[in-house]
Amino acid sequence: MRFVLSRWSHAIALAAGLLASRPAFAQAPAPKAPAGQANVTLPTVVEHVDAVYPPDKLAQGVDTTVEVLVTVERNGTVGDAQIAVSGGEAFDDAALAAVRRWRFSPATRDGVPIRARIRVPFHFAPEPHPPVPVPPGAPTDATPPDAGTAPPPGPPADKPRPADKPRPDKHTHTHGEQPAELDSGLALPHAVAEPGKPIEIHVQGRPNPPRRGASDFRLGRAVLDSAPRPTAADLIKSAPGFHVMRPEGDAVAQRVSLRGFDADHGQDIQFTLGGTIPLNQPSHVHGQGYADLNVLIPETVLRVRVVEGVYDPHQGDFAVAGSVDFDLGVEERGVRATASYGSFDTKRLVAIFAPAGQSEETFGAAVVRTTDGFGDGVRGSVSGGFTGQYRFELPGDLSALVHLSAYGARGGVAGVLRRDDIDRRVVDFYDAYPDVSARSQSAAATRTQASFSLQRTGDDNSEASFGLWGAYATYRSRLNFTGYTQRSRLEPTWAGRGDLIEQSNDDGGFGARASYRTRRYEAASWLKSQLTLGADAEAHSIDQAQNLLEAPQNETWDRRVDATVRSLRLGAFADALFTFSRWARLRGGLRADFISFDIDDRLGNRTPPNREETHFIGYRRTAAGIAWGPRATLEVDPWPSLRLFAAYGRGYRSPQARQLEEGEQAPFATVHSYEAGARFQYEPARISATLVAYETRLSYDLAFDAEEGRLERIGPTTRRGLVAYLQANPSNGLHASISGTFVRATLDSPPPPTPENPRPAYVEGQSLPYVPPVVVRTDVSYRRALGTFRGKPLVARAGYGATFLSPRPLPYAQEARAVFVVDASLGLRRDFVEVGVDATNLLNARYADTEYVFVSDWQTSGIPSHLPARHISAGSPLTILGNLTFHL
Amino acid sequence: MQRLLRSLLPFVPVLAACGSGTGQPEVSFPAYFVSPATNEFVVDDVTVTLDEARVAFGPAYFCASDSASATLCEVAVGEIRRITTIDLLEAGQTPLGTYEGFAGDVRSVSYDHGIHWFLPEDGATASPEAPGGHSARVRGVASRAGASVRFEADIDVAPLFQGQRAVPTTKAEGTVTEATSRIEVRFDVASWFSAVDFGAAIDAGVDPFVIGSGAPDHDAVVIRMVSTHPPSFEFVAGEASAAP
Repeated sequence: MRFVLSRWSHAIALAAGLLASRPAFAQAPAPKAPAGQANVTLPTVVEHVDAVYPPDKLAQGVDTTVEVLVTVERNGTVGDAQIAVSGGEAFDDAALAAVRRWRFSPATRDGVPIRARIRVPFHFAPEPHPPVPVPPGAPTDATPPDAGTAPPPGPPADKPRPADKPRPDKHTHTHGEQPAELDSGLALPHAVAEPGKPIEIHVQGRPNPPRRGASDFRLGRAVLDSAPRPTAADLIKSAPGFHVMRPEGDAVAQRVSLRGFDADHGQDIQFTLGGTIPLNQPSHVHGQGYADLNVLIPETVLRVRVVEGVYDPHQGDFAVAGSVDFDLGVEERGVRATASYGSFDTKRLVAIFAPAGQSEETFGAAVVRTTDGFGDGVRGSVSGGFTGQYRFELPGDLSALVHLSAYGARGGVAGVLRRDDIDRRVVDFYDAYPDVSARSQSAAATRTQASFSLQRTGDDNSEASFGLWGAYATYRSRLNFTGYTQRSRLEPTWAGRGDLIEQSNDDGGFGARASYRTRRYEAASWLKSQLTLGADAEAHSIDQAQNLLEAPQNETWDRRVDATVRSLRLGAFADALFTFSRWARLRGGLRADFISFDIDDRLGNRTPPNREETHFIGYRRTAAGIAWGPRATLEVDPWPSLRLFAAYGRGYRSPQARQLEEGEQAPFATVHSYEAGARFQYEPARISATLVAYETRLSYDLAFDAEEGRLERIGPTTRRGLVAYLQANPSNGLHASISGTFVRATLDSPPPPTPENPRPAYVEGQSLPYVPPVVVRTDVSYRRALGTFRGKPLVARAGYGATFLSPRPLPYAQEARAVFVVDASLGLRRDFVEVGVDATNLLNARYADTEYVFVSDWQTSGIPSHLPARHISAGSPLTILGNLTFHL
Repeated sequence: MQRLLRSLLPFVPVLAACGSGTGQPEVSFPAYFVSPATNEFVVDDVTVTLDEARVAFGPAYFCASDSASATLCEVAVGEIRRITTIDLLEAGQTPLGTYEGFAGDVRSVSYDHGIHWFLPEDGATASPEAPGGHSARVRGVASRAGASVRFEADIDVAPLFQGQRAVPTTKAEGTVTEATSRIEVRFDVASWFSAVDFGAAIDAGVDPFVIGSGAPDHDAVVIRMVSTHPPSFEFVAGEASAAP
């Protein structure tokens, strides 16, 4: 044992020294362009990973070189890597594994990023390699500010690396004696583009779209890996101002709030996948814009683009608070299988196959999960999903991506509890009411979707893209929010059988999108311009129903909705870029959307009870409308490290079809977004900071109505706030971010009168309920090589994500308690085996995931109350999952 | 944009504290029955002397809607969730419990007289507070020109439908604010029993004269209690008195 400890301590000390000194690698200087291509710059390395000398070759003392042909994507990632000169299988594998994790500043032509192929040699030497000389680094003109491609986080391309520093001679043993402690196993690769050879230009992958304001955030795996992400919805927690809740179990879409918007299940946020597949479902019976992110397997999300506000003409329906776009991909190639087991008998198995030599976007993944859930046994769920993608090249510089995914889940739902019942200990915080209707709550959902997209980028920076998608989603929930308060509308003498609301929604949708970006025109020496024209279409056929059921036999005792909705949305936009100089750019354009509805409301025009029937039941109607949305963003770079933004945009949300009248000009909810902000980058410390002031005004807002289990109008609203976001990547492997969002959300006029309340109470400047005025989020991740153990590298990772929500205003001048939740993750990998542990709600905070205020009667008091009361759905307590992963 | 920035500045320091202000704050104050303490009244030429007059009242639900019926007022703005037996012969005021609710306009009220049919109960049920299991129990003597009969009235005011109050709606106008200190409920048993034909009972020599469920006099009293002579409700602003 003493021997082992000694070796461990030695190895850790050695690894610490190595990390402190940073392993040497050659930074390719800004290479000269090949002959005849004077306006071309070649890729430069901005982030590298050392290749590991194959330990089993150490004894042989092999000294060899591997050359890898690397395709550098326009966003600086490695799209393809193939062996050009083999050094033997083990060395080839080591070189490929390393180079796929490299990051580059992309090649450019005329200042515009292009895809390029370069040759990267890796020299494997069993003994310490002499420092690699680095030619004087000339600053690269890598990504110009208007290039439309944001460089990946990391050091600047022209940042000198300590490649020429002599490596400390820490080892005193020969590799034959104690190979695990040798740093001589580390190859010293240097990336050198082959001079004189013409670069090969490909069009592959979706380009990283330009930023549309200071509130345009990109989350990469470095951030996403910080904390456990049990679901894809948890990924967006790291974006400033987001809060994600899951009050209705594992089979119902997450609830989201963002910058003062209670976006419910997606009504105010446009969710898309790969810019092609819309995830929001229009006119969903459980909430307009319902978007179930469970269809995404979190491990396969490569990056997330979050635009808070509406400033991009590409943003369409539901982009009210903002939009979120997920890009799928797998960085680490090969086969990965993870088995997890932990609290509440949770079991999860995920397998990912990412064939070597293929694009990051090519992979297959499958997941299954089962859990008993916390509480007293009503939160159990089972789910499964599959995602497959294949990126391939077609003649004519076309790049194609095929995507297919499917997901299904069924889960029990504990429902809500009255605060006063919890305080009186009638029911425990984490339990469900011991009532047959309460314990019969459940939900089940499926979604199957497929897409095919094509893209072609011309050498002149023009770009054409086209995408087709189709999706079929089913939903059925049985939820009881209010206990025993409802009366049948069809048979008014039927009452008090339990308010178990069954909702079902079957949505078949398909659509297409196309866009074309012109080359860049130079109108004057000081003015360049570029235009993008695009269109998209989306059609849905939705069958939906809402009934009241009596548990446990689920006998239907009232029918509330029975309808078929057919909708068609056609959108078109023009998006221009004007570059006035290298210091100022103006982006923007106009978007218009036409939407039409055909509603067959089979319960409409119902004859009231006890009245003579004079007609057949049913109300068929059509409605249509057009929404216009001008958007613009001005960027000014007063200093290279500082960019100022000002942006305006008008967005919209389509109406819930069932609420439309015949011939109604579809009343879109329109939003006006304004923001002014600044983004500062301090490159020596790899820190970026963003500060944004914003205002959004919404023409009418929606709020959750527990009686109907759906959203109802409440009137116009305004949000004003500040967002601060700091990202730091001070050393390799360490990534930290913190954001603070402060918002004041107000109702601008009294809610619409109803028979129940003809003159609703209203106070000027009245706060909007449910949205937290302050949201603070921090994520930290750290990955570090600890050395080797039994001849194999040992890599540790740790990270956490913490969310703080200030007390949230609730209706009737009440206030929900503050929430502070920490999630953390630890892992240790040796060779192909990784063990880890994930903890969500590490501090075991007892918090309400959501709070509502409405009338309920759960028969917990002799005399029922008809006053709106506070209800909570409990947030998950401390949950620990152990993980075992095989990387094959 | 300037307007935005200008408007942001004042509240930046207090954003973190902006957690309330959603309107209609909670209110709570005592409710009282204020008795005229009537133990004798005259109906036509009959003098009615009461020996016992007890009425059950509650619960009561106050609504912002014009009608407090269960279908139009599913959400109350105030309520008195207690059932109280009121001794109408006792002078002074009788505590009815606590009015709890939210600030705002009140336009109607629904309530029970000790017999309720809450969801999901199968039928109307008398509460323990109901005197003798009835909404009202009134005993006394009716006299005219030297002739008199004892009368015994057991009045049942029961809800007609499941989930509805016995008195489905009654006007109760007022505005509740944080300054409201009490609510006063008044009703007059004399006005209810003015509908009873005591003279006929005296003429017939029925002694005791029993006014029970199904009798025309019983229904006449119920109509007065429910429709024509309902209680009055008055929200009183001022210094709060001690809670009952």
